[in-house]
Amino acid sequence: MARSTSKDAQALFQSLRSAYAATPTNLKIIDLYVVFAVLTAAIQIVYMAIVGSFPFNSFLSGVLSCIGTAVLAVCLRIQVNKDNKEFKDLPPERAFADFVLCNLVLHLVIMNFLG
Amino acid sequence: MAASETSNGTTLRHAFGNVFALFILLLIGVLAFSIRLFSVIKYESVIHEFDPYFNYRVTQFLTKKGIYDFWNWFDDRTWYPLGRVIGGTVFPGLTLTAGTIWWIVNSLNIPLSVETVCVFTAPIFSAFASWATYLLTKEVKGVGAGLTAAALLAMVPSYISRSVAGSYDNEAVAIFALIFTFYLYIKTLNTGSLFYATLNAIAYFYMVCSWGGYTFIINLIPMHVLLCIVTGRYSSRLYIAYAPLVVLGTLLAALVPVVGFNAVMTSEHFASFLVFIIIHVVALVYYIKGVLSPRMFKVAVTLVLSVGLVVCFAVIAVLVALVASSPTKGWSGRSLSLLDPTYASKYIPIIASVSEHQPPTWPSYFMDINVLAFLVPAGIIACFSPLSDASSFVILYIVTSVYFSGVMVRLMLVLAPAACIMSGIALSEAFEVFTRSIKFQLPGAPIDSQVDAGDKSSDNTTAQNDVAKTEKSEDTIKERPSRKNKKKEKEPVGQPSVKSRFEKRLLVLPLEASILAIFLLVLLGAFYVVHSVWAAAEAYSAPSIVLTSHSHDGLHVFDDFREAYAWLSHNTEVDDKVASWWDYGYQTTAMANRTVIVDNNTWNNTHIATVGTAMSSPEKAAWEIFNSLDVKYVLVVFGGLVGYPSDDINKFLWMVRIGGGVFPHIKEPDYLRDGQYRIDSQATPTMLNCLMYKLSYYRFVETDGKGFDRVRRTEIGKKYFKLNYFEEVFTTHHWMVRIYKLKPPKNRIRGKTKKSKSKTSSKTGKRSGTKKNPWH
Amino acid sequence: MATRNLGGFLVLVLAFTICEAASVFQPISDSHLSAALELFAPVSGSFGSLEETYEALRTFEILGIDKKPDGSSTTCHSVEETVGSSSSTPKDLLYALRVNRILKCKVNEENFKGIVSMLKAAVNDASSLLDFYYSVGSLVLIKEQSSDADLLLDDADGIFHSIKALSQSDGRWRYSSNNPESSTYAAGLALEALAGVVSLASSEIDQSAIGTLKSDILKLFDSIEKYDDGAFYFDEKVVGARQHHGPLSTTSSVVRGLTAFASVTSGNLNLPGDKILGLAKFFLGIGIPGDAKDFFNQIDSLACLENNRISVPLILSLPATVLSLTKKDQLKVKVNTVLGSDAPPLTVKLVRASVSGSKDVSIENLDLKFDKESASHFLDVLPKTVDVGKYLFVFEVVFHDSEHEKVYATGGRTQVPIFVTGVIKIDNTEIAILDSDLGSIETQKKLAFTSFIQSFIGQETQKKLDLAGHNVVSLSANHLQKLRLSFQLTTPLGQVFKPHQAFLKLRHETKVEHIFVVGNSGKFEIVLDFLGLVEKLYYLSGSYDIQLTVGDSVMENSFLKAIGLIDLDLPEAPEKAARPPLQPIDPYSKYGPKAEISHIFRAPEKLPPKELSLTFLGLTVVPFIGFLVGLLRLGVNLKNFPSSTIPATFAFLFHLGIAAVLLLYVLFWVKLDLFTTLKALGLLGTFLLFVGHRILSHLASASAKLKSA
Repeated sequence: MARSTSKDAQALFQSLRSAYAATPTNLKIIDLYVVFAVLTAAIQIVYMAIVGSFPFNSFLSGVLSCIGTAVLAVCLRIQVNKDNKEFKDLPPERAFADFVLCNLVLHLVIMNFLG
Repeated sequence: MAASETSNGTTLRHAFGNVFALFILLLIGVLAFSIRLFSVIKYESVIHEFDPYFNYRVTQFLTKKGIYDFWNWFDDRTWYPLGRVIGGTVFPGLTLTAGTIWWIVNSLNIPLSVETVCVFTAPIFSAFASWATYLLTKEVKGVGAGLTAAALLAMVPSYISRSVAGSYDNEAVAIFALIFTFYLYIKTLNTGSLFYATLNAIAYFYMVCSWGGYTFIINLIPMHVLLCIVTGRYSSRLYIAYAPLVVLGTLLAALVPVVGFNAVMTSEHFASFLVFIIIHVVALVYYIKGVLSPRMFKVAVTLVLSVGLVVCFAVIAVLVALVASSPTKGWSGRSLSLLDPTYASKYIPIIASVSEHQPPTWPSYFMDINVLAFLVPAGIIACFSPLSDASSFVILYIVTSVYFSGVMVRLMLVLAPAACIMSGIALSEAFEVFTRSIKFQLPGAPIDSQVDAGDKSSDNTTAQNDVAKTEKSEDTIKERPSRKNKKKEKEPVGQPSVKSRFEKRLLVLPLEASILAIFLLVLLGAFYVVHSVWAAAEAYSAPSIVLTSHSHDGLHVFDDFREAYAWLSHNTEVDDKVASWWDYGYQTTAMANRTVIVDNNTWNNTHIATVGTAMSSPEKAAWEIFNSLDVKYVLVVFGGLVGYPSDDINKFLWMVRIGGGVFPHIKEPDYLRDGQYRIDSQATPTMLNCLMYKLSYYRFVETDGKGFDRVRRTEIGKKYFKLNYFEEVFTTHHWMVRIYKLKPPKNRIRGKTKKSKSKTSSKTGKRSGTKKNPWH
Repeated sequence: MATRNLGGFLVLVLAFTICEAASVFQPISDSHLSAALELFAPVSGSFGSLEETYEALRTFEILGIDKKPDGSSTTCHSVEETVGSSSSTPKDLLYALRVNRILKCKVNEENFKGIVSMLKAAVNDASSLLDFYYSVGSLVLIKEQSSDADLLLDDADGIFHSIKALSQSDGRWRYSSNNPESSTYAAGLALEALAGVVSLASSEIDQSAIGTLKSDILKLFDSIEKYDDGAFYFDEKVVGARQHHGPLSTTSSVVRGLTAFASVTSGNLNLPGDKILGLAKFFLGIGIPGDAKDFFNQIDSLACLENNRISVPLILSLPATVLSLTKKDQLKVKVNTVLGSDAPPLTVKLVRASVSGSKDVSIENLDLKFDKESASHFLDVLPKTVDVGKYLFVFEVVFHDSEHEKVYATGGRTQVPIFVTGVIKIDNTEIAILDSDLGSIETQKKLAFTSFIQSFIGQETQKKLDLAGHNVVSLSANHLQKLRLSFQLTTPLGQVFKPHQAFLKLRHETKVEHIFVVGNSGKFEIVLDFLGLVEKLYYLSGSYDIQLTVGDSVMENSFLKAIGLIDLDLPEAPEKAARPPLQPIDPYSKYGPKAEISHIFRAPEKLPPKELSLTFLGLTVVPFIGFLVGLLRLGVNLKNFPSSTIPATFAFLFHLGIAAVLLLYVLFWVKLDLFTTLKALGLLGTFLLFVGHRILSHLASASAKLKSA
């Protein structure tokens, strides 16, 4: 049983990698960006877990900025994804403009909250 | 069918219709603004009730001192001797809005006083609110429904009750913010563009600034998202609509001082975080599903889901831990009283003592949302066919708001827009069905069908104003195309129009029935309009600070409150402390500019309980309490002479309860004669000796021979008594406000004062030849 | 409260006795000398202005202090230049000459000649009273000091009348003809000036004018004011005149003028002697003023009174107004002039001595013997009839030769309050606990207590109080019993004595005090019925210590003594009994320093160790590096970057704008505030919008073209 599941898992990962290899480069870049942001957030959270969250607003703004950028990037990815039916009529440039705007607003808030 | 056969006609009709709709919206705005001016016309341009006075004072401060002083404003005129940090404890949205309006107007060289701006803020924003409603409903069910809903909301009584000119309170702008936030959410949900998501977050920020009710949004939207996920309606638009909102919204909310870290600490907000995580998991799942072949997906689901569930549980555990460790131990009192209606009355008398925190009665439902109450179910049904994300959201909205309004009268206000939207949808649907059936009956002349549909529906909802007239005819015209476009864009699969045509054929009703039904609808609308105009004119436009009463010999105006406050501001020292029950705290600080002990922002239960105890203890003890609080004057409101029901004697039991909650030697049963509250000769001695009784009824018997209280409809119990520790300094014309002064502490050594007096007299007696030689 | 009440009462009594006692006037004594020396201490040799110099010197002269200021040379120098210069005002001249009169500086006659003419001119066309006063005064002084200068005024009458013209109907004067306000002070000046005129007159002033002037003086004396102790004084009617003079300066100026005038005019102006005496009493009653000006006024006018031609006041004073019977003090009386010089031969007779407030007379018509060396009249032993108490002695001065009657003013009979003190005997004292039925008395307490009090009195008389070991009495009672304390006070003559205070104080361990007044009906007795008192005692059981206070101003052995302890057991306090008031540990502690407030500061948040933070800082960089590496591995390409120039610039500007905005954010975080940031952001935003729109649309069109192609 366990072996079967592991085999399935391997097969799954195989197919996953193959499937992911098919994704275009710009999406990959975005994914990389997301991963980067999430990792940064994770590091900050670990730090908080170690030394406690004293300047709470700083911690909050740090983590939320990472998460926020990640989320926005995911949104961007969703929107510029070619095989996403819902956004055919939405040009990727428009999506990118929205992305930039949203990021700017987000970071204005972050800066304000950073104290 | 229409769109295909005469396309250019439809386009022309669209253009025409858009302009027309714009015009109608303008008129609706004017209607919404003008229907709220009754109070100004009937009375004068004054700020109403209690809280608005505080907001007015804060606004004045803002316009005088500027924004930064406003942020860190420590107010020492209230909550003496504690003081209160206004900047950190007030929702700044309303103040900032009014301040900005004032600033703009003055920079345009239009000299308006701050008070004027404050008085007219509410009507202006109600106009905005109706437009926001139009937008929201348009997103849900198209233009026609939007216009109807906007027209309904423009004059829904429960909203009028909070936004008549002069009631300058948070809700005035909050409702607009609420609806607009919802609109942007729906808009984002429909278009799925990040731009609207950003706007949505900002609108949410404005809502957070304006009103504590923002928790409603931050709980309702996650519920809706969860609903969509559960009903398998997840789409990446949903993700775009929700995830940025949570992140940005939380950050923005944390920027507001009064909310601060509560945005992440208190459990009102945890639902959103939970859903935030869930939606990520779900998004991942959908993504993988999209990537993988179905067979592999079967395998993947097991793994991913298990992992996802584990993550979820972990996060839930973390959240629970946070709840346990969060400062407010979970939910704040008001929210708890929302979840458990009996909570407040059980635990927090302060919350329960406010009348608008009581659960409403059925008449109040009818009073506040009138016929909409009957139209709402129809609207819900209409929303179910077909069920879209937006309509499901509206349904959720109405359901939850109905529940909340059932808990607190105050939240009837949240219910009102939902009800308006629903009934707007219902009305427009109904009209569409009927007019279409009529049209199918006589296919030859679609035009005059529209015409007669028009003038049939002409004098419906707002019979005597042409706004609604044209509007109705308008939306019946524009129903189909807009609806069809929506259909297209909503179901991407797109069912063949033939099918819809068939079902339309099925929907045909007999001509007479539909005409009759339309006529009935018109009657219904007319009734609604009449009712709400009456409500605006009579019920809700009274600024509880100037009272009127119709009696056999005409109209009486009781302006006692302002009389009393003016007296205070002119006849007392600037830093005298005035003690009264907390209802009058804001007015005293705002109008009399005197320091008060407690006021309507009830942040310190103990302090209020102290005042309550003083009011309900005998004279001497009360004097000691007040003296220890450095109080110079005591102000009581007494309606017994003119029959003003909401006076301090009627509030007295709350004082006793609140006081007794902290100081156990005040026991409620001592004031009740076998369970009932009475002030006549049957009253308990404790009642007859307490300060409130004495201050209210002092010298009352001198008005009419026997001291008959018009509110309690009885003769008072103890008529002739004198005050030893207080002296009456002022009583207004109708005895509604009575102000007493604490006598200075008695001089200990009587004889000594006499002696010194006599000596001074002998010394000053110059003409009496013998003077003491001062050199000795 | 009761204690405070008592305290206040004591203070009152004390003040009362003091001001009674002090209404005996003492003549100028040595204390004045020392006071003068420290009031007029010359600063760096000179006394400042000439006026002050004059006051100092004059005071010293009167008091007989032959202490010329060591800086007299400098003073003389200033005097000479004042006199020499023709520009000096009459006022300076006046004071200069006055100083000169005392110091006898050598001023050559030429200066005098110079200024005399000037002064005469000034006199002749003087309009205001002060001009007359100064110039005339200086002329008089010159007349005294220089021999030959001819100083006689030609039309003395004219000047006299022009001064007189300023007088008012009520005897007061105006400063000048054109201001209406009239003042008593001015009257004094005017009189002095007039006296000067009379003395300078070449021909005799006609008597009618003098006569009217005398009547004016009498009128002036009608407005004299009086204190209840027989002191007379003048005061300005109009307060808020240009410079307002207090009673002292006013009176002294009047006295100066009066005496000066009296000295130059023949015939006496018949002023009642007692008024003169009253004025003297006024000046003496002041005691020793703290201000140099007042001091000068007092001394100078006293000197004027000392030898005036009207009547010389004699002051009858007593060195001691408290006579102790135990010490056999003898009654001494002194009679002096105001400056303390001896009076002419006379006898003082004690007309009557009576207990104050009662009619019965205990002494009558005793002549006091005169004692040469102490220059005082004394009564060697008080008659036996004088008991302790407060007496009123009435003295009368009888001159040996009747001529002096006219010259001296003694003010008839003088009443002097005198305290005769003595030891009060306390006997058959007893303290006892009675049962409710007035039955068994525990008598051994009584004995002990009596003996204790006697012994205590014995020691008291030896001025040595030993408080230790004496509270022998220790009683115990319950609320059904009574405490009785009784004693008797008898004067040396055996009468019953009633002291001002007889209090019994019970104090609980918890500092709660209760004070009972010991009522007296012949014999002092107080009975505390605890049954009635439980309410007042706040139901506090436990040991109370008993204090007995007996005191009076004539009782030499007043005492406040802890008698002993009483152990009460009282019933339990019912529910709503009055709480005992919180007693301050010490009634004066509320003026003492308060307890120090210790501030509680928030504990500083613990900060992580630096290296940990730094490592994490490094860690946060790692993903970024990973990001870049990943980009390289993915082979990121900028081929989408527009090649043609215009879009390229736009694209460049676009990224530049974004960078600028981010930079702005950093600035915002570092120092800017929200609103400046928002303004800048608005500008940048519009720019960014424009540029971004251009580049993105260009890209979109390009991609669309590519798609279509």
